[in-house]
Amino acid sequence: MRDKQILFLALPAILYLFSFTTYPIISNIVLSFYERTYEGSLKWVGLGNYLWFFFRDPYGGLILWNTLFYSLATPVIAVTLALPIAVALRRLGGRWLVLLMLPAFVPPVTAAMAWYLMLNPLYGLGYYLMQSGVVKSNPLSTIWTVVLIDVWRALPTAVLIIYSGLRALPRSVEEAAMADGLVGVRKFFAIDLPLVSPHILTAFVLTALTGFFTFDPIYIGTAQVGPRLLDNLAYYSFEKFASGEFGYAATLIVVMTAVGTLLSLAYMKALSAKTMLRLPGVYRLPNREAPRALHAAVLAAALAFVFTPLIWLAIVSVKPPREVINVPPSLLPSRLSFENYEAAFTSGLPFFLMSLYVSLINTAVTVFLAAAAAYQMRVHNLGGWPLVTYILYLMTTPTLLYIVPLYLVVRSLGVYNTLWALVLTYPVMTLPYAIWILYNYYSGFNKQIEEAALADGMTRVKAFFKVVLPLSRSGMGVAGLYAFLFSWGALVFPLAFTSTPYNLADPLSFSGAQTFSIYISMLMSPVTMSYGEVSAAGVVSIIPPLIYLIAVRNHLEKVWGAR
Amino acid sequence: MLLLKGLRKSFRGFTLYVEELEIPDNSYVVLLGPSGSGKTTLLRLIAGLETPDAGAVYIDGRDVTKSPVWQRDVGIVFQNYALYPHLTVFDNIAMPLKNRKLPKEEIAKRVRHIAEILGIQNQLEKYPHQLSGGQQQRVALARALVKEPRVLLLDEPLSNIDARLRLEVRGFLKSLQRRLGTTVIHVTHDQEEAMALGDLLVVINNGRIEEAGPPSQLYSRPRSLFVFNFLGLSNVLPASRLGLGGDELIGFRPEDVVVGEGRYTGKVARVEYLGPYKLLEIVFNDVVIKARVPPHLAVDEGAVVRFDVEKDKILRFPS
Ligand SMILES: Nc1ncnc2c1ncn2[C@@H]1O[C@H](COP(=O)(O)OP(=O)(O)O)[C@@H](O)[C@H]1O
Ligand SMILES: [Mg+2]
Repeated sequence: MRDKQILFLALPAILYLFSFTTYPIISNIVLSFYERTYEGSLKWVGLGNYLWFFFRDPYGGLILWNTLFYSLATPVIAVTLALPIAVALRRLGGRWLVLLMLPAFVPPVTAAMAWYLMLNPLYGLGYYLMQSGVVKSNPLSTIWTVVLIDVWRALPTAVLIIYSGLRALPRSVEEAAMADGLVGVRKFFAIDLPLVSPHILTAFVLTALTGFFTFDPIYIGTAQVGPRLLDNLAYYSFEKFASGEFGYAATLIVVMTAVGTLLSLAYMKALSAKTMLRLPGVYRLPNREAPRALHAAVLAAALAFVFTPLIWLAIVSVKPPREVINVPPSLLPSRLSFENYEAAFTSGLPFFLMSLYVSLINTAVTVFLAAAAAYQMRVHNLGGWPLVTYILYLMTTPTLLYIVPLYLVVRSLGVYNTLWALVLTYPVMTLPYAIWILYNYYSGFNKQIEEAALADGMTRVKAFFKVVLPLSRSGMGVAGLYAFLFSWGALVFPLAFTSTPYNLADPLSFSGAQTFSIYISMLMSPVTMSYGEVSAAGVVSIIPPLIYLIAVRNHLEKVWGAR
Repeated sequence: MLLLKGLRKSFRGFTLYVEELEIPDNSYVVLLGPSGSGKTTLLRLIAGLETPDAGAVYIDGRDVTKSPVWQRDVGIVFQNYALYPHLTVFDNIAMPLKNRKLPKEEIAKRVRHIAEILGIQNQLEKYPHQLSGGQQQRVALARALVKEPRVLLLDEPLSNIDARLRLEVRGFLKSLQRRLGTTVIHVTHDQEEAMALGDLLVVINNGRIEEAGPPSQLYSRPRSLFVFNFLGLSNVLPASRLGLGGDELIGFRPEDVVVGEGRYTGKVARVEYLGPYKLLEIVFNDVVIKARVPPHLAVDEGAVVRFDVEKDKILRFPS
């Protein structure tokens, strides 16, 4: 029997998701057959946009090449680095994991900004790289820098997935290997690596998705080195959108949606993959443990990689403003100065407030809607596997895909450039992830708790609020962490749906809605040269997610432990 | 010969201690005890999967306490079999040999040989997930046996087997041991299984060995009250209740009670029909005495019957 109240609880989230994702996907396809004329009306061009992109667009080849490069280089490098790091973690203890996870909690704009700041050939460590001859050409203008930033952002995910795969190896199989005389390096290649190969595949596909949809590093990098050099499909489509070429932007987005869907399907296949890799020649490998010092060295290198840009960011932020643009750059500030922070707080305040509002509102809305839907999906099997698959699909594809149609919606509702535009659209970005986290969380939930409440005479709705929700605190805490993180670090949506800073002269109008991410990217422009201020803003941008992280840290294990 | 001496292992709130235990060659030894009594821990200490806090393990006089598992000459079959899921049955069985880099033909010969003994020679190309539970267990046995260990360790090998097949596998294990002549140490919490299989029974309770000996001796002449209770249905009561001298406890099995005649009169409180026999509960002198009678004996609940206990079967335990 399908209970109406089950549907009632899940409906808000599901209706929202369907209307805010399915409609844009279809709308993109329709738009891709049109061209916007100079007068602003739409003109049918059939396959014209597609033909133009693949055969005529002078940038088409470059864009495709860059996109392919990011989508392959990122996973290859991230997984290659993650594997030894995960092994070192298993040997040296998982308590280091939380430090390695740090990049996942730094807003993407801040991450990109910190790397570009550090690699700057005049004012950053890039100066010394060039002086010493390690790097021959300007490190800012190469697509490798984009990959570097992507890898930095993707590494935590890859390490986490592979590490939890290693930890989930059945203890008895490890002991059986021991009984068969397999030790150390040989055991790793003969047993562990084949058994975690599904996890490695999962990590690979997921980081490939990161690489394919790279946006923030290109947005920041383009401001440093000029247009088109670093562009991929994602960024190019945004540029086309920003210049009003909606039809062409939609075309590029349809192409991305197709590739993204394939990658997402590959991800789902990887999640349930059973086939395991087998390596030949493992019996020639040494049958002993790798020295502990080697593991320690791997871990130390990983930590250095994770922390160097952040440390540089912190150092620059406390330099006196004039010292920031000294050439050669000083490694340490001559004196501790908080002028950069003062500047960032003064000019950044409207942006900071707007980000805080929308993040808090969206986190609350997301967690609540997600819990109500995820519980029914898991415990009452609402929607079955098609709904779960759809959620997983939305989770792995980015919100960039929806900007053109949602922009038109926001415009027609008259909420463009207000807090409400963001509140209305942000759940597209956060709901799928939150539902997925809670869906997994509820797999271990005792259904009889709800049944007991029903037997006591409560309605399902009441039972959900009085009994289920209070028992879901840790799942909601973690789902909320990610919702907050995504809301706080969002760049594409605010770029698309806002145009001016929050108007503090009339705070209750909540209009003017540019966010802190936009503030940071504006400061990175080489015209303003506010490197001191931007580094202070970067440090500030890391703090709210960290506060949230510390608040829910005890619940994280439950989600991180899962595959 | 396997010898354990002064072996001690403590976990939080639990200590296993074995003062001395000698396990003769070529015997089927069953470690029996309630769940949580430390059987698995003892097995893992013998295997070398746990290191003892104190004491030593000797195999054929060689102190192996410090040796890792693979140098101990033991084969282990894990409760969930722990097969390598990414390898075929052949490669699973061959793993310990390949690891020693034996020549290819030698490996193939030995794997075939052991697979034939275990009746899985037709499954060698399959993967573990294509096999039934019983077949997986045989693969695990083959993998443990292919290196011809001195001691084969089995942790609850029948617990994951279908109830219908259990008897069959039980017989198979015993005949396998007889055929190969290895020492088998078999852990179980099932007393019937233990008595059916064991040449030597080691009863363990709360981390201590209560008693070790042949099943028949432990069943009918146990020294410990725990063993007496654990190995089958039992009556335990103060000697005075039956008008016997002494202030100890006495114990006897239901089959040692004769119903129909005798010195005592009691009321039948309950009758259980169990197929080959009936079990009566007779209330006598405020105690309940279980008695086993032939199935055709007509007794009703509430009837008053005479009964007696076979004198020479009565055991005395200090109270
Ligand atoms: N690795 C361990 N860590 C902590 N306690 C353990 C460990 N292994 C066993 N124990 C404890 O030792 C006791 C005996 O366990 P075990 O040997 O598995 O008993 P059995 O196999 O007889 O059921 C139990 O109380 C169990 O909780
Ligand atoms: Mg056990």
